[in-house]
Amino acid sequence: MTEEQRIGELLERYWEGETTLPEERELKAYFSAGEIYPSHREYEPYFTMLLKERQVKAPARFHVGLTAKYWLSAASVAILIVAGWFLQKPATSAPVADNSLNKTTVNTEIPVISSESALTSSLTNKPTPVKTRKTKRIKTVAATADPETQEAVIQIKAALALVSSSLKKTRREVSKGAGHLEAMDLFHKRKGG
Amino acid sequence: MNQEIFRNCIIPLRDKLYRFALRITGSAHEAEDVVQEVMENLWKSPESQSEQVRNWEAWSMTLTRNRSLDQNRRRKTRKTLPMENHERLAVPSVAAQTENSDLSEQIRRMMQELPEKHRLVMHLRDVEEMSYEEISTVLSMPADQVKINLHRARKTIRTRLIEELQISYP
Repeated sequence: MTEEQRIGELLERYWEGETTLPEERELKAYFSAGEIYPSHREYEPYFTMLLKERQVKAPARFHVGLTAKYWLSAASVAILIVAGWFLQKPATSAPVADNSLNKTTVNTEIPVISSESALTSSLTNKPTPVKTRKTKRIKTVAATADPETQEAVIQIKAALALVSSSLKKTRREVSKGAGHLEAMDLFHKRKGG
Repeated sequence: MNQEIFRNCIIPLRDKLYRFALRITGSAHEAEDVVQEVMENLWKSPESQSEQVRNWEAWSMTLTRNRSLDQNRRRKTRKTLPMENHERLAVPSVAAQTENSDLSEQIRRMMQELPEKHRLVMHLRDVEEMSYEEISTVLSMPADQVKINLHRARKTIRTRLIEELQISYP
């Protein structure tokens, strides 16, 4: 039996679904080598297509996307911990109201601080422009707590400003890091061929 | 999931999973989404589940198949679309200009138009070179059915290929 006949027989068995994996690999190797007998030429495009299909690769951003996602998750957790720590700090250091102090019902003008303006002014040490709204609220206050409350509000504002600043910085770092990772991934992909 | 298993067993399967999802959905964009979800699910899977998996490749392919079929079901109105060539990578551009390549492209379309079972069996065997047992696991199909579907798929492609050649080169 000639080589041409042997390949021809292998092809017939292939179309019948009777070949083994090694035999199928042999057929692919035969068609990819380029030296094909004229009687087999009609099947060349089919085997070429199979080889091309195997070369299809997933876009490179998969891995990076996944990594960036984990980085973002880790950064979010870190931010929450930092924010929690800062918010907790003034509360623990604030003086505890004495229960024996008089409880009074007062009408107060409660300053409503726009968060953005407060943060900005905290950073620049400018007086905070505040809107006011008149509300009748029953509040339990210590008669002597006013200056301390104000001090606590200032501390909270400063802490929030710091958190906001950290948040922005971390965001920038994360996006920069994701960019680097993507670039590295692409570089390795290209280098790897 | 154990980070080492993920790095050594799952990440190297990325291209294979993508090709399989692409074969089922017919859309590069959807295939990307499917593989992303499958990989995330695998990453998040509990250790106890990881210990039960014997063949990560078959398991990942099964998840990809299920997820891709879900995607297809969700968009019932969408017929099988030809795959977007511009999103396919690593295909030599010079070869794409030859006559053979044109015919290869037609055969690829023929393959994409096969009934689902035929198409998937043929893809797993002829493109991914998987054994009948592995295909049987991935597609939840008895091995003899795998052989029957493969035979029918190849027969259809051969017949259409010969017809195409007679039309193109009488």
